This record gives sequence, structure tokens and C-alpha cells, in this order.
Amino acid sequence: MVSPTQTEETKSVERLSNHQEQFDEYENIVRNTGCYQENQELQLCFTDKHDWRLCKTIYKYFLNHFQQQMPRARHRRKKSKQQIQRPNHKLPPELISEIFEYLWGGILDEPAYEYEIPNAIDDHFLQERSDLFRVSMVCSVWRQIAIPRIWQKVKFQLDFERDWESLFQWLMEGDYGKYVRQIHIEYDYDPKQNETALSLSEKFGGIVEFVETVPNMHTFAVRFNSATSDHIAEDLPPVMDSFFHEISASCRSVRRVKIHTSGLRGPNKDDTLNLPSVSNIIFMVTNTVREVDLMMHVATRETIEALCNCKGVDRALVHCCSWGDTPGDYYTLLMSWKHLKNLQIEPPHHIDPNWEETYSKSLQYLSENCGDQLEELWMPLREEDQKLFCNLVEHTPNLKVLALEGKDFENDGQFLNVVARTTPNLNYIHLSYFPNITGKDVKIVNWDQLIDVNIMGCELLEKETKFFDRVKEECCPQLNIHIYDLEGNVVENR
Amino acid sequence: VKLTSSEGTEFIIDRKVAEKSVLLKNMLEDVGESDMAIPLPNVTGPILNKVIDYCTHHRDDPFVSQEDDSKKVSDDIDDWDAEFCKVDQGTLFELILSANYLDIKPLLDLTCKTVANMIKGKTPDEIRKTFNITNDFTPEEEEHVRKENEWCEER
Repeated sequence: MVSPTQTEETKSVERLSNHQEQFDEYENIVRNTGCYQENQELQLCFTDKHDWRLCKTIYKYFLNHFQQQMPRARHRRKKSKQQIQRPNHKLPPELISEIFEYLWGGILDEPAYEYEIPNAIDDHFLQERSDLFRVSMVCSVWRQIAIPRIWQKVKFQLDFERDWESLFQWLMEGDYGKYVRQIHIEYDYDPKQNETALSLSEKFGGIVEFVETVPNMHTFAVRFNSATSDHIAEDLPPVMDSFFHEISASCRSVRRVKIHTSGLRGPNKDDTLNLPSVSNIIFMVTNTVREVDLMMHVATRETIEALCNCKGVDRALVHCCSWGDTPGDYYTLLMSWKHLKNLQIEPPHHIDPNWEETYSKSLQYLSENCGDQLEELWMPLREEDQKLFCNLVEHTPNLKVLALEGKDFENDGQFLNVVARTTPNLNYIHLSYFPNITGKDVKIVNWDQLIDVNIMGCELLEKETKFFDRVKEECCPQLNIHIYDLEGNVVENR
Repeated sequence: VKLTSSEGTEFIIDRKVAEKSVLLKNMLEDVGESDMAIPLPNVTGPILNKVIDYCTHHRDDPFVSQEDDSKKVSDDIDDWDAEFCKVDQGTLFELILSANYLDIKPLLDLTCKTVANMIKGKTPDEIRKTFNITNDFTPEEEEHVRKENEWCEER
């Protein structure tokens, strides 16, 4: 351990060979007195004359100097002791950053998918401050490191009652836009609030202006939600539409787009929400976007064409709420995204023969063309699709995550047999609503990488056959089995 | 494999243990094994001892590639590791520096997590006390932070 009194200079002296070590320690002490030069002269004099008495003058000079230097040397020692008590300054900033990443669960510039990342506005306005926020108030070095992390995500909850005008003023004055990587906009419409087109458009105006100061946006995520369908169905969409139009210019670098609008439709829940300007955003992100998460009822012809040009997409979640007369667009989209690794399939609410045809064509296409690259797959599973699905997983040896939700699935689930044999790299599997699945007939289990299994609404699997307990015993001791009740709460971990 | 700490103390360890350090692994691959000790002027003897303890305990762990841990959580420390990190702060920080220098990612993660856990849930004042940090904000900066907080609390 480096002693507190050592300086850079003496450290390098210390690195000399073993024999010199003791000598060096002595020398260090002398150096720290500040009388090294004088001491050196005194030593030389003695070596020359071999008699201390002949070195009197020089000795006196040394002594004098030494007495003068003493208080300073003490002070120096004290100072270096203080330094060792300030460990944060001993660590270079990149290591302090490394520690801070654990305070918010992410890595700067590689925004995590998790939504638990604190957002700067809540952090400043709520009583409950994040660890990152508290750390920013410790000292100047920590503040410099924490600020970009605090501001990397900004979420505007538009139904919140607050002084929006001063909020935007504060954001602009603080010049925080330069740190922001993720913009989230949420709006849970509440009829009691009496939102008008005018008040909403003012909020949007503020956001547009702020986002213009964000040079490097990574995520643009919007979630509009409404349980009612009163005047908002007619009044608000035009305002939203011009908002998308205006903000699109600032979306140049975006890698991740999410646009969810549930409930925000006309009296008929499957009406298309008229937001043609979503296509402006997609046009803008064509070259950069990697992840799309869209509710497709906002998509016009132009939007779908723009989506087809987003060649870099590797993660896709397209809620097929309504494809109108052209379910074939789904197939077209899949074919355009050659780098697809993660896919979440959300079929339309009403399944008609047109969709059926597209769907089987799509699964067939995936198994023939994307099998090797698929790492994550989330989909509903009906009995009649079991064969198609098995055909798909026969071709996905690199699958790491699989989540399946049974739809009226009453038989004993032959597919599990296929999955267990064909997905040796699986880390996570989720099964819900397969009441009669047993796993009894599963012969070959190739899961030695499996870490977590979540089961929900699969009674036989949970209580009787305990198939996954067998898997755990036989080939993956690291497996965690989580059983959920139908509300989604964990009831048992094994 | 022979290693020399900053004071010149020699340590002899298994190659497998040494290879937990990417720095040493690359060095051994480039130069090949030899009787010459590898000097580690940035690591002191007691710290090197701790590092070797760690690498010996985790010698059979699979190598985790960097991209695998996209989410950083700090509550997954096992008992042995937690016990290993029960050291004074000075040692803990020296361990972080050494793990970084020797490029031992799991040890760096572990020690950083431990420090992060020491920070979590504390007020700025408590954090300063824990780590003996001087509040070095200038009065203007202090005023700015205070005003901003006050402003936010009103709204």
C-alpha cells in the first residue's frame, strides 16, 4: 500500500530494486522534509572529509534550513493524508462512472429496454429522489459524472397538472437537452381534465422546442391512452398529427421508435386513427432505426412504405390491431427486415381468412429465411398453429428467449417436445395458459443454458408432472422456476 | 507464473488463475511462459494477494463476454464475494484500480457493485461522510443547486 507521505517522485524511486528498498525509505523521509539538497551536500562533505567537525558550516546551514522547512513538511504530510481520505478523487472518472452505472441499472449510450430507468423530470419534482440524483449533490466531480446520466431520459406525462410553461422555460434555460438520449411522452386521457385541443397543443409546442435542443436522441417513445371515446376522438388527433409532423425534424438519429395509441380511436375500437404524419417520423429515422414498436392502426400507406425502407430493424413489435383489407403488409414488412433478431407477434383482434393466410405465410418465411438469426420470439399460440410453430423452432437454433401464450389451447402441447430438442441456447422461457400441457412425452432435452422459466396458468406442468423440476435435476442445475398466478404475481419459486 | 508486486514481493500462481486477468492472459500468449517474473508496479503485495484469492476462487467460472450484461444490477452478489468485499475502503478502492489495470471484468464489476451498494439509499451528506468526500461546490454552484431544488419543490 502506498503510504500517504509519498509523492509521485518517490514512488518511482520506490520501484527500484529490492536492495535499495530500505535506503529508499530513508531517502523518502528526507525528501519530504524539503531539505534533500542540503542533506545531500552534508553527506558529500562527510564522504570527502570523514570528519563531521570539518563539515560544521554546512551542518549549520542544513539545520537552519531544516528548522525552516519543518512546518511546511508537516503541512505537506497533512495534505497528502487528506487526499487519501478522498477516495473518489483517487479513482479516475471512468471508474466512478462504472460505479454509477449500477445506481440506475444501465450503461450510458446503450440505453436499456427497461422502463425503470429514472427520468429527469420525476427525479427533480418528486420527493423520492433517485440514487443518481443524490450522488450529483455530493461534490463537483461526481456531479459532472451524474448529470448526463440523470438527463439521459426525459418523460413528459402530459395528463399531469403542472405549470407546463415554467417547466419548459426551466428545461431550456438549464441547457439540459444536450444530455438527453430518450424522450418519452405519455398521456393517459382523463375526461375530468377537460383537455382541449388548445391546451394539448401548447404542451406539444414546448416539447418540440425542447427536443430541438437534443442533438442525439436515441429513443422516441409515445404512449397515448384513453378509456373513453368522447371528443378526443375528433378533437385531439389533428393536434397529435401536427405534433408528429413538427417533431420529426428532430428525430434524425433515433434508433428506437415506439408509438402506442390504445383507446384513442373512434366509437368503433378498430377504427384507424388518422395520424398520417407518423410517416414523417419513420422517413426521418429510416437509416438509423433498429427497433420499432408500433400499433399499426396509426399506419397509412406511406408509413408502411417508410417502414419497409428501415433496413436496419432488428427488433420489431408490430401490434396488428387492424390491417384493414391489406394484412399482406405484415408479410411485406417481415420480408423487408432482413436483420430481424427479436420478434414479437401481435395478431389482429379479429382474425379473418386473409390474416390466416398471411400469418402462415409469415411463419413459413421466418423459418426459411430468418431462423438462424432469431434470438427472441414472443407470440400467441393456437392449437391449429402448432405445426407451423414447430416448423419454425426447428430452424431457430440460436433462440435465447421464447415467450408463448396459449389461445384456447386444450391439448397436451406436443410443441414442448420440439422446443426442448431444437433450442440449445435458450436462456428464458415463458409459458402461459396451456392448462393441459404435461411435458411427459419430451424425450430429448438440450437445454443446458436455461436460466429462468416462468409458468402461468399451466396447471399440470406446475403441480403434477413437474416437468421443469426434472429438467433442472437432469441438465441445468442453475434453473430458476417461477410460478405465477393468473394476476401475474409470483406464487412460488423453485 | 511468477508475478512481482510493486514492493518486489514475488507471487507464484497457476497459469489458469493468472489468465482470469485479460492483461496477463494476453501477455502470456504474446511472450509465452518463462521463468521471468512479470512486474506489476501498479499493484501492491496485499492487494495482489486479495486479487489472487479472488481469481483462485473463481478459476473455473466461464468467461463472460462484455456485451452479455446489458443491464447492471447490484443485488446479485453471492456470499463468498460479499465476504471477500468486507475490507476497509482504502483496500476496496485499490482493488477497483487493480481489477481495472489487470483487466479482470468480474472483479471490477463486483467491487463497483459493492461501492454502489454503499451509496444506495443515502443522502448526499451521508455519502460524503461514508467516503470522506469534501463538498467542493463553489458558493455559486451550491446556490444554483439549491435554487433549482427549491424551484422544483414548489411546482
